[in-house]
Amino acid sequence: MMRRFVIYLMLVVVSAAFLLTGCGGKADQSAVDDKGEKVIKIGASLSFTGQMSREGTLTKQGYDLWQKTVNNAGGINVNGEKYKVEIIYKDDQSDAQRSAKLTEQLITEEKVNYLLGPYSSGISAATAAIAEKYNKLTIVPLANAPSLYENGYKNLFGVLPLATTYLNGVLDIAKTLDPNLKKVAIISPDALFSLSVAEGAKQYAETNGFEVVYYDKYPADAKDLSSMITKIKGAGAQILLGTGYLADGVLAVRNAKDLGYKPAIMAFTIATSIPDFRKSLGADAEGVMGGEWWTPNMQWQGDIFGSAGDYAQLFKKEFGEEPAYYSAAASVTGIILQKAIEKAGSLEVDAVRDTMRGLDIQTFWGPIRFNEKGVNVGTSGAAVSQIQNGQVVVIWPQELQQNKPIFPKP
Amino acid sequence: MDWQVIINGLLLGGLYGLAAIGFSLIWGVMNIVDLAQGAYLTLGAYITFWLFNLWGVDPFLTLPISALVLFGLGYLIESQIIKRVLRYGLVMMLVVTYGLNLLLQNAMLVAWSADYRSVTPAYSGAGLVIGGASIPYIRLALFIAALLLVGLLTFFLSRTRMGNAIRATSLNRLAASFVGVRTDFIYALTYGLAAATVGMAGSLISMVYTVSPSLGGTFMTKIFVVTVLGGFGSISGAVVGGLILGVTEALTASYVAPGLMNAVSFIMLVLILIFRPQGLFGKQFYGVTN
Repeated sequence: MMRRFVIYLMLVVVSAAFLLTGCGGKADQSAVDDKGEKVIKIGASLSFTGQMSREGTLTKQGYDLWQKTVNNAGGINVNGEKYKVEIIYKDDQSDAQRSAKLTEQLITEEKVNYLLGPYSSGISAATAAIAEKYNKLTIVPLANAPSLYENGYKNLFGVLPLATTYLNGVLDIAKTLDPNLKKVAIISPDALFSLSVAEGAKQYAETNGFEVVYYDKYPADAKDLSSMITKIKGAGAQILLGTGYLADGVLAVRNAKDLGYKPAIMAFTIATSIPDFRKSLGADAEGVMGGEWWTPNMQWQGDIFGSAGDYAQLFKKEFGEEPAYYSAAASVTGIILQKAIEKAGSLEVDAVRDTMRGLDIQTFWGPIRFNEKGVNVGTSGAAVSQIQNGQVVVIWPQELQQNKPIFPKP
Repeated sequence: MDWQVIINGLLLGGLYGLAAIGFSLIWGVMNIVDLAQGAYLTLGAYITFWLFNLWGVDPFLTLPISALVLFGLGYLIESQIIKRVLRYGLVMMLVVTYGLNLLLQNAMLVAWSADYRSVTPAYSGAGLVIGGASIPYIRLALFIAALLLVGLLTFFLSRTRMGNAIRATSLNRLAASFVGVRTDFIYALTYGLAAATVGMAGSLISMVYTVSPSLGGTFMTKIFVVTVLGGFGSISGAVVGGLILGVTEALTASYVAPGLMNAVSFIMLVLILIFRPQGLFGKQFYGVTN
């Protein structure tokens, strides 16, 4: 009796394994929707709830705008045949393990061959591993922790330059503003991306004659930074660099105000670029600086959205607000996939991936060219912007400057 | 010893304590682990945000409104949903309250989006400085408000007829019903009261932190630790537990490493569970102490 059960069990397991490999190897390339149009399904697990829900929503807007634009133009052209784009979204609740599960679901149940990335490096690290296992292509718009690209994944491509340089511009501009600015404090939530920015900023500060008087990390879900700010105030830091996400920046500014800490420069990785930051903080946001991987006044040009300015206009018409770089990066991942498929003339993952390796295109985001690790090396370095009178103004580098910086922070 | 660190910790701890009272009360009286408390907290924070944002109502004046709305909601949820599943035991209650939490959280997400919002009255950021340590007015006011609310609740539970009925029910539901306590009503009342308290905590919290649908989730873990520390069902225990957690976090962040803040809280939780499972101020049986 027992033995028979075991044999049955083995039979079930073996046949299940066969079924699975069958699905993995020869998945449907595309499907036909109810209107009889050919459709390419693309999977996207994004954070719509949880700590990074705002960033996730901005990312979705970028994907949506690309999807709408490409579908209005007839779709993606594969050897003369037009395929409409259908993006299937899942909510990962800002949780990496959940995102990995959803990505597996997208691949095995929805049968997608292409994945547009989740938000953040930490979550992308989890989904990239899954995509690699099933040999599906992942293009991540907003994940640039260097370690992500050291795994030897062949199916992972990232749009942003590596995170380590994110806040270097702030230190550059600090030098031009006041040579007496020496003491830097760097705080970072315990997250893959944030730690790489912090590490990069620390190195850059030290090699450029700054003194890092405080450097520490805190739990990613911290609701209070008073103790850290107290220490930093005591250390007399003139420059405060925060490498967290939106909620972290807001928290740091409020805690600093509560404790009467007024550094001459306050800069955050993700702050100025999202409207909520200034909406949420009001006058307290004045003078805060932030890194920007892309701004609408950059002089780039491409064929799908036109110039950076054109993209901003289209985005504003669609969503009623200025695009943040998150959305722009998300739209550009769509363009990359579209161009690679069209150039490859095929929907096979292997063919599209090989085409991506040699891709060299111009877009409203800037030139796109991947190195052997899958990092886009078309652009490098981040601009610095500052909140002035409730508006985000680019202040660095010199050639993009829209207005003189406000210094010191009021 | 840096006074500023201790003050930061105490002020934060007061909020933790207030946020944990409702949870502790429900656990003590009804023997339910109520995972929906985080959502009520968030709802309270949103009520303050909207009243402040739309009509410029002073955040402190929104407390009674927050309390009323959440009391109503809590009463309704208990009498319509929780009551029906109560007899299926602890696990079922976990599932139901977890579901309620998801439902409310996502409803808020749909209604108000994931945007981060904050309540910034004119007096935010102002404060007094005593011996080099700055004490922000808002945080001080929050702390005092938290203590006042605790005092009121304790008075209600120990000195009023209704409060006594709640305590009687928590000791023994059957016996309480024998002596004429309408235990169904008392359960709904307790649940409403707990929702109102945590809602007011949310209203106060909105003045210091950013409000988003996920606000309650992060507080939920703190609430758990505080309740275990203080002892289930003990109101003064919740407050003391909150203060202990607040100060421990502040000290860890300053003198050990900010990254270990959560680790230390949870180590504390485990130690308490091993050596004093009834909590610092709890009794062996469930019950509201005064």
